[in-house]
Order: sequence, then structure tokens, then C-alpha cells
Amino acid sequence: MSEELINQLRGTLSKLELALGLIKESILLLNLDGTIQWCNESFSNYIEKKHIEILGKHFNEVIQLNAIHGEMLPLDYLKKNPEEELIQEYHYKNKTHRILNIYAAKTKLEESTESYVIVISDITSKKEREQIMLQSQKLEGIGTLAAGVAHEMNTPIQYINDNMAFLRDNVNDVIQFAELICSMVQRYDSVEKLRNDIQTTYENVDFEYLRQEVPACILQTQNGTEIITRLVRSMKEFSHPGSKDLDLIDVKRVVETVVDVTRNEWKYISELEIEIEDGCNKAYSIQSELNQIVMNLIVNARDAIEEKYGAEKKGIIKIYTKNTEDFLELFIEDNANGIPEKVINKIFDPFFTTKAPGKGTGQGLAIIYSALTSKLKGSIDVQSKIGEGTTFKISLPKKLKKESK
Amino acid sequence: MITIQNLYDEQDIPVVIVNNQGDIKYTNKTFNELFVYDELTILSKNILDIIPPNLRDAHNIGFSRYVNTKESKIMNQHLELQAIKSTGEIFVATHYIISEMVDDEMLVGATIKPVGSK
Repeated sequence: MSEELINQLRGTLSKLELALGLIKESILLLNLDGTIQWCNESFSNYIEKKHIEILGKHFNEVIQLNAIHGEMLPLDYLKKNPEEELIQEYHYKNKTHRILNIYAAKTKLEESTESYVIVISDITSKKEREQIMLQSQKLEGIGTLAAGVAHEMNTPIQYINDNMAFLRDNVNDVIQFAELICSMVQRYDSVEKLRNDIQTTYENVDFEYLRQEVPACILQTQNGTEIITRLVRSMKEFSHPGSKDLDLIDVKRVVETVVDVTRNEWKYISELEIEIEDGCNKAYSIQSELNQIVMNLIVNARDAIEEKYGAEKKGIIKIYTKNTEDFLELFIEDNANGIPEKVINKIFDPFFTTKAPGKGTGQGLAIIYSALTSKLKGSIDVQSKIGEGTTFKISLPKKLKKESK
Repeated sequence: MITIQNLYDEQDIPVVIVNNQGDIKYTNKTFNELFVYDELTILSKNILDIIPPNLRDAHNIGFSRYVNTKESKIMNQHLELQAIKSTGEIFVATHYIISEMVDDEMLVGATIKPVGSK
């Protein structure tokens, strides 16, 4: 090879190295036993070690990654699945806890020079921002729902109050009647006169009316307090942060809770049918996240139905489940206008919205997608027919993969 | 400050000097004994021949950057790096690398002292 050609190649290599050193992501080239052959400057800066001290060391020795949910470490994964690429989040403890997104794959070079390429992005700040956004969205949701729940509670509280006033007034009459009888028995010497006076007073109290109304009044009051108790419990379950890890949860209970707390959001716009049989409704999820997901999908369905029917008539939201071997599938279906084919592939993109300005931020489905596919180890699919409606399918794992590290 | 001339004068510690293509231009006897090369053979080799295969890509990239930009992260400091003998034995040695223009030619030289040796 001529000296001129070597110099040209050296120039090209230098430009590439300088360019790769300027990007934020860390890039590493490893040989197949995991030894670092090269890394860009971003990586040496990130782990605060001299570039030359990193080269020749084993990847796992230089950066100690920890699986978040028992996933295999990158090199183990590539050894087991040499034809696949890995995109996975890991914990990394440096001075602080960090979350890294790792892309790893085998380069398609000649067998003798095959290498692994690893690209590392520190997504801690992004995750924190997402968490803050999720939290603020949740708080905003709770605020909106609280008004609705207060409205839902208002009706039973009103009739409980009316019933209590009714009981107070009439129990007073009954007590007065009993007291009168006692005093009469003591005072009267004529039984005939006593009987007449009791009869007159009895007719004034209208016991026939009370016999019918008091039990009904107590029953209605009990129903009212049950409604309030259920709403308070649902609101508490909805807003409680709960576990941050995947847990086996009752998906039917989650749906019922969200339906309760969102009732005021949809009941004037739509009917809502839940067709979930008891039993076989458990899947791994994080309750607070799933609450938020189901709420967003119900509110989206409500918005779509309102857009189609306005105040003319009510639409229908159906919520049902199906069981597969590995997943519990939760369907949320509406009979609104459907999503046009040209935008259906974009609906999970951040900031994409078809809602009117001020009505949607375009973050809801993006957050749902991100939560389901990363934290919740599930997935989300959408089917839509123009003029007929849209069905979102959420798949939640029934088993957690226990992969060897 | 160590100069290329100092390296030519050094006899106790292994020394190697290469040109901007990485071709070996000078080694001392101590170097030849350590790396198990005779004088004639070593002068037909490139610096890559004493770098373990794992580190050759990194060397190519780093050396190219230095030749093109004169920016180096490894010059004028003691560094523990791997080296490879003609026998294939890989060992760790303390390297001290310098560079200097001599008669319009850029030369890179290094002392290479096996870790643990006196």
C-alpha cells in the first residue's frame, strides 16, 4: 500500500474518530470475548477513565451494569442470540444511580474480524422528565377526576341528607306518640277514653305511611353510603402510588376502579360496558401505571365519541379481556369515527395529536406506549375502521421471564 | 523532558523508535532481547507487530489522529499497556511515549519497561 494511500486512510480514520467523539452517546467496539478494542471519547469521559486505560479491558470490568428486571447482560445476550440486536435499559451505579439504554449487535464483517458494537445512552434525565410528566399528568388527571367524583358523590349525599331529615322529623313523631301513651296510661282511669285518645293520636302520626317509607328510606341511605364508600375507595386506589415494580394484579379490579372514578367524564357521552368474567384476570403490571393507561384510553374513547355524536346520542365504550397462553389482553373499544389510515402509524409518536388545540398534548398515547413496552413488559396495538370505531389492545404478561444473568 | 536523542542513548531500558508510518526505525539491544527479535528482523517490522491484536484497531485510530492532528492522549506520561513478543507472549509494560521532529521527519519513540522488572 502506498504511503499516500495510507495517509489518506489515516485522514479518514481521524475524521471519523473526531466525529464519533463529538456525539453524546458512547460507542464501543469489542471483540467477541468482550475485550474493548476501541471506544469513542464520549465513553472515556462518561466513565471518567483515560481512553488508553480502557482499551484491552473486558467490557464488564469497565462498566458494571445491573439488570432492571432480570434481563441478560448485553454480552451474554449476544452470545446466546448472535444474529439478534439488543436494545435494553440497565441500571449503572457510578457516583449516582443512572439508567442507560444499551444497543448492542454483532458487526457483519469477515469472521476473523467480527466485533460487537455497543452504543450507550444515559437516559436518566429523560426518565426523570418522563416521570415528572407522568406524575403531573396523573395529578392533573386526579384533579379532573376529583371534580367528577365529587359530582358523583353529590347525588347520594343529597338524598342521604333528605332521608335523614325525613327520619329525624318522623322518628320525633313516633317518640312523641310513645311518650304520650306512657303518660296516658298513668293518667287515665277510663279504658274507653284512653283507647279513643290513642287511636286519634295514632291516626295523626300516619303509621301506615311510615311503615312503607322508613325501610325504603333506610335502604336508599345504605345504597348511597355504599356508592360513596366505593367512590372513595376507587379514588384512593387510583391515586395511590403503589408498588413501582411489576406485580401480579387484578386487571378487572383496575378497570372497575378507573370506570368508577371516570364515570362523570363519560356518562353523558357514552354507555360503558364491561365484559370481564371473574377469575383468570390477573397479569403482571404496575397498578398506578395501568390505572393511568386505562383512564387515558377511556377518556380518548369518550373524546372520539363526543366528536362523532356530539349531544345527539350516546356512543358505546366496551371493555373486555381475552386470555392467551402468555398474555392477558385487555380491549378498549369505541364506536366513534375511527382513525384515518394515514395517521394510525403516528398515534404513538410523542406530541402527535388529532385533537383540537388545547384539547390534547399528544403525550398520552406516547407515554402509554413507552410505559407498556418498557416498564410493563407488554405491548399495545390498535385496530380501527373508518366510520365504525377503534379498538386498543393492551397485552400484559401473565408470566415474568426469569432469564439467567 | 525526554528527547529522541535520549532514547538513542538509553541502553538499560528497552527502546523503540518509529516513523510516521509506524515502521520501526530503531530498537536497542535490550528491546530486541525482551521482544525476542534479531536486529535485522525487527527493523523490517511495523509497530503493530509489538501490539497485541486486540489493541491494533485502537492503535491505528489513535496513531492516525496523532499524525493528522498532533493531538495525543498518551504522550509524555507513564502508561501500563500490553505488548506482544515475537513468541506470542503478551505482557504488561510501562510505556513512556514521546514524539519529535528530527530532520523534517516525525519520529515517535518509547521506553517499554515490563511491569515488575527493576
